[in-house]
Amino acid sequence: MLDAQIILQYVTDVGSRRAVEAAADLPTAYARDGLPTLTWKGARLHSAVNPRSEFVRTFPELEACSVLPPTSETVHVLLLAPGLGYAIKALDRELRLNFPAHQFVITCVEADAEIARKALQLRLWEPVQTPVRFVVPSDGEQCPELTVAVSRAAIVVRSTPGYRLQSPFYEATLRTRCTRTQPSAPLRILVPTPVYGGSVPIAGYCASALRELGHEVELFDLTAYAEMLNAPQKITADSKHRTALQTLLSTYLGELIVARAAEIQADLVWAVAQTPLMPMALLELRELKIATALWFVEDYQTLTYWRQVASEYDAVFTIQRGPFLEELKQCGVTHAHYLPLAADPRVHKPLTLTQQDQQRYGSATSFVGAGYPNRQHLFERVALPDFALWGNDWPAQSVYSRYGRSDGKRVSTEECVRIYNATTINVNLHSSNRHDGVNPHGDFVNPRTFEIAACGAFQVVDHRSELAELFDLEQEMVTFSDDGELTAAIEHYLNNPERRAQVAARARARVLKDHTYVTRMKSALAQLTEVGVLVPARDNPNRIARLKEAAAGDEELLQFLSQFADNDTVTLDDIATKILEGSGDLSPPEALFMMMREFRDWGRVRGVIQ
Amino acid sequence: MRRRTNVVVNFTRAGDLIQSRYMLRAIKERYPDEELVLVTLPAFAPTAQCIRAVDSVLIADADAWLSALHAPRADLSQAIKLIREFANEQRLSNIRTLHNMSHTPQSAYLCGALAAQSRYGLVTTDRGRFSCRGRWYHYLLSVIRERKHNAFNLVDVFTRCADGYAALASESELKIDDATHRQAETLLTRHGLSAHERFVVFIPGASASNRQWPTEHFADVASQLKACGYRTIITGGQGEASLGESIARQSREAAASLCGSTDINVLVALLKRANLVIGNDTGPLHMAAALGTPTLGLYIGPAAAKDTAPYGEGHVILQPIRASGPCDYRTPCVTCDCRYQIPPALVIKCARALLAGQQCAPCVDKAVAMFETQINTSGDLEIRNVSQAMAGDDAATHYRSFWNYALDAVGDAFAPRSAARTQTSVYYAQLGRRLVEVLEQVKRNPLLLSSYHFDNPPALDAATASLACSFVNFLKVRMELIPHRSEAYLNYIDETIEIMVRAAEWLLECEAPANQSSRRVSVMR
Repeated sequence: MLDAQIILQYVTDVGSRRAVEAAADLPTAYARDGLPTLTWKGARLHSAVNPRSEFVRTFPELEACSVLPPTSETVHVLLLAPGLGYAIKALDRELRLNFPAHQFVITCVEADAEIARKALQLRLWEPVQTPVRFVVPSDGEQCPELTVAVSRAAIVVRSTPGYRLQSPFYEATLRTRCTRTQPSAPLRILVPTPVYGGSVPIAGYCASALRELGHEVELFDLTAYAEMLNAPQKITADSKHRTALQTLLSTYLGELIVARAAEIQADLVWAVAQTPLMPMALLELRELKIATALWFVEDYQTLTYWRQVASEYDAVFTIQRGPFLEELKQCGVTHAHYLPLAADPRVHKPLTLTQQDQQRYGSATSFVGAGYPNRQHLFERVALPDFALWGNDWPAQSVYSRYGRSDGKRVSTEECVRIYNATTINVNLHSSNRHDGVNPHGDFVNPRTFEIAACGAFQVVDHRSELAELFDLEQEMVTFSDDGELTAAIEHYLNNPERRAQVAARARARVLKDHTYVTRMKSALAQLTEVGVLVPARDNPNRIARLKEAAAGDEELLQFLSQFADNDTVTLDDIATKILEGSGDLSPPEALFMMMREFRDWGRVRGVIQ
Repeated sequence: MRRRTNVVVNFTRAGDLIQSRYMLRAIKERYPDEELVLVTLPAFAPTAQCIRAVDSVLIADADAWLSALHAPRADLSQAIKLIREFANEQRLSNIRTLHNMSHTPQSAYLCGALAAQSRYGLVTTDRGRFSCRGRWYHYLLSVIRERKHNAFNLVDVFTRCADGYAALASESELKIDDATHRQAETLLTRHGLSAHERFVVFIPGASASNRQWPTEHFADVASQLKACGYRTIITGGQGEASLGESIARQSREAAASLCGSTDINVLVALLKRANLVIGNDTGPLHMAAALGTPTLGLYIGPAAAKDTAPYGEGHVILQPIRASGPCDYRTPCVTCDCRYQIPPALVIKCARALLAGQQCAPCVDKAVAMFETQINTSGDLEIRNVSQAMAGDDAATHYRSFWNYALDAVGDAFAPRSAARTQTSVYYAQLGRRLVEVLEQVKRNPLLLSSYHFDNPPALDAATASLACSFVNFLKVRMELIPHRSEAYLNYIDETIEIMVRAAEWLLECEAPANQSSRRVSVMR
């Protein structure tokens, strides 16, 4: 795979190609350990003492795009400024170690052709199993191979000091990546909440994160309808009537969402699991050309209503992979992507508790969550020291009667954060209706995992197959697979406060780096843009740059539009607001925009337009 | 340079367009060498093109604009292109006078965007603020807000907006070419009418169902007209085809429906050829009047003869009598009871008289008012009450005299001297003195005008109260639309005071002894 010819393949510019072919050999210097090293423009690219150490380096700076693609897809890794390539060998080892199920391609981008040529001559990384390619761009902006490599990359690694020495080039290269995969203008996003349930706060976290990314977001709170949705159960025992009434209400709620999305002229409706959007409402949104995405933050095998709605969404994000993604495809879902859960660091954060709170919420060990059967069984069997049980739906005669602390009520988010902070060891056991303890086949990682970690609190969590991709299981997370491992972990970590603090700190750092709702939303929007669900900003007819094209030749109109940035996407109302903020007589363009708005409102009142 | 134009913007209704014909003629007569451009919406373009005074019609394609503004995927680029195409139209590049006949924000913004030597009617100036130039436009806006006091026909108000008076023209105000006449004849022949056969046209449609006389009544009249030897043609648009078919069927084919089979031009030719037009208050009824064809108007629901009677001499209007007067335009009618208040027998009686070229006998039906139109010596349309159920309307005469004097200084102060020294004239004087008091305050501080809340008039008789209310409404509208630029502001204040002074003069004059020189109000003159 690695061949000097490859470097030439990717050099598209004839001048640069000649430069690579004709590059004079850089003088080879040797470090104390005998390996070659390199000096470039007076700066050392590798250690003059021990470059060998780079063969075993780790990559804390691995910049995952929050989630890797499914194992069926090749993962592209971008290594910037590889120098003589010592890092390639180390990177190959780390990738295989951390993601054994994945296939990778490493693309090295070297700004300087002479350095690349020297690296190819020396081939210091051989042998490696991962395919390695070199791209030496003639001009970062114009090299299509570079553009493809950058856009495909799921992981970006920067190799210093080479990166630092030519940082303007590498940063410009990475910016092309951002503009390609992120909608570069603010979107208008409606985030409707479910009527009730555990996904309600997740909708809120999503909305906050999207807002933080610079988008205009409206959180449409539907929790006020919870009582109505439960009302049929009080009115009739007949399931036929109950279903009919609940369907009517779901239809009503769906129409509310459609009406609101149309009203605010949303670009995207971002729904989490249990949001009351039925196929009819989704079809209406499609007719209105409003993109829809569902983040199914539930276990697809437990909550199965997705089968009725998933195919009507433009894209579905899941917290599980493998069979679920396959089943979604079979249901007709065109765009299905894995998107694990996360934490919101503004909510889930370390707290300095008052003594009163520490007493109220503190314990040596605790668990917060609903009383699923597997939890009942496990906590019944395993006696945990100074154990506190928080949450709802625990049978009165269960283990809750001994350890329960919240009177069987649902624990609020704020209280959860206090409990996590006040507890020495938080036990995190994923729910299951079909097991009596740890689900040996459990895959997805629950929000609690990220939330406890984000609080800087310590947890022991039951083993999940996806966990290893999200956390370093040696350094950042402690797991258990059965009762014995749980007991042992509790005993060990209760007696090792320093180790406990280390693990908790690393887990928090990892969450802040990779597992926030901001990173998830950024990734999701990039996916939606990439697959064409969201219109790239450059194609938006309401982008100021496009409006300026339409106004070409009209200096007064162009001057008016110059109040906005070219990349801004505006609505008629945005323009009208700007006009009304001004003073003095209306200019002709301003008056025409106001006239358009009056016509638009007139058309809406008469039902001529929406 | 592009030929100079005079531009009239009218986005309202076909009927309003026809009723603005004298206003358009007044502008055209003032600037005969300049192009008169009528800007209207696509639906009204065919009607606009029929008006003789109009040189060209410019379509504001609001349908296309709305399509580009369709949420949530509005295409502002496209909307800008369309609007620019329109605004860059050559005919809008060298405007002498620009009149906004509509009273909508859309047209006001459009007029605000167009450069013109003089602009009249509602226009936008400041951020989201409107102003209005032309004292009769202020009057029009005050009437739109509260029309119950008005005693001017809309045609007269429109015409005064262009500083014109609606002297009847010798030739028809609507254009019909020979080819269209032939098309109409062919159509009539196809429906069994020979070249010189006399016929009546029915207009059973209207913009709202509460303005429509019942189809069975139309059918009844058609049957009786047939017995008198008249054929009946029903006209209307495609949307009124079922209405036409229903009347034809109920009349046992005494009436033939042409609904949907005529364009505006052919309709105009048919109306011109008809011996009588019977219909609801609609555009075609006004077209018939503009063509000089006798009309019998059936004014149902919110339609009011005093406002929109067919313009011209000798038209007859039947209108249900209701304690509350005609319905409000903005309040949907619940029962529409009055639709049945005009009996077919009365309609056929009037129709026979009109067809015979005779005056209609006074109406004896207590539930129906009958009016006949006539042009008075001031050039205003009057509706003469020929109904026994209603008293004569001196108040309307006073009202028109007051406004003509206050706004245009036309006529003498308190011209209807016959009313002097009656209780009404005492009330008028009382009102005049109150107005002088206000003027004294304004003299001390003109800014009071913009913040002055004119109290409701004291308890007066109906005629004086009506006049007082209309004047208060007028001043309110005027103050709401006060311009903010200093020069325009001062002129506006001066003009307002001038109007108030004239109003006071008219009111106080009614106390002057007969044959003595009129008293002049010295305030601020």
